Amino acid sequence: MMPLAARASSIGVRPETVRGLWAFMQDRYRTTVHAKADALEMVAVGFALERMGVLSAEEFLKRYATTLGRRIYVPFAIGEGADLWGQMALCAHEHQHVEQLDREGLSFVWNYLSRPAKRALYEADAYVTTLEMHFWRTGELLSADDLSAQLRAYAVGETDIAVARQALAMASVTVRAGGIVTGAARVALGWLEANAPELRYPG
Amino acid sequence: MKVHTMFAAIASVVAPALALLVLMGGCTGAKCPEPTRSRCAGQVAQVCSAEERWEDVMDCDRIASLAGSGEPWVCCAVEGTVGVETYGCVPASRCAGGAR
Repeated sequence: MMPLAARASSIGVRPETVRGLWAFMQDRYRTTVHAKADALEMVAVGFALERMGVLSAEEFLKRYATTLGRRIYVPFAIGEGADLWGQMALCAHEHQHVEQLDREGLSFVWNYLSRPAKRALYEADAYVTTLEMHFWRTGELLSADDLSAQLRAYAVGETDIAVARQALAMASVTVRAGGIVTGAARVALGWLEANAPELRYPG
Repeated sequence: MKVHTMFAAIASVVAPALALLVLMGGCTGAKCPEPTRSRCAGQVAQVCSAEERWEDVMDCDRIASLAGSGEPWVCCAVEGTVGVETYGCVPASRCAGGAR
């Protein structure tokens, strides 16, 4: 799960590039994409989260993308809108959750739903993908403090957030040294290097 | 009677599945001393979770290089706040203290 948030400029990002990356990732990971507001199961989850005091249903449905298994629910039309780069970063982030599912199977689902400490680390791992996409685009690192603070919307505790911050800080050192940690970033950046290298910093 | 049979059939499927999930959920790393601590377990950088279990953050053998230099990645102390060492994956030549 991740909110669509403009972190890097979308200048020069073409709608067909966004659609091309999503199509490639869907094919590679065998995922399907669905409009979040039209999905009854997402509306139900939204109201459940609101009742739990985690997040308002409106915010969940309009701002956050969510992955359930191989179904990715997005609050936008792919390739449309102002934050086209954000849509590509989000594509990689959500597919990192599919990597986690492929790696751990049912225990990923169980751990994500039942253990806040594990949920925080799964999200930290997916936010490393976000960080890697941003670094490729801008040459700058996103703050581990800012990224981990977003986990407050995931019903985790302050210690979980501190651990996530540390995991992101550890990965940041590797990314700054030119490494790619996560599988989804490796796949997405490989496609971007081949199909839209002009988007890479310094461009 | 029919309902009872159906319930028994469902229970016979659901109960083992739940037991399996619980067992899978219980498969966690070794105990660690303090949340946010990090370490190298061979080539794997780990962090101490809020459950005080070592959890993998990244495997240095699986890091890909953007530049494609071919230099191996190693797990070692990378940077730290005062009094707390932090571990991660860096190219071998940048590992000042040597791989752990």
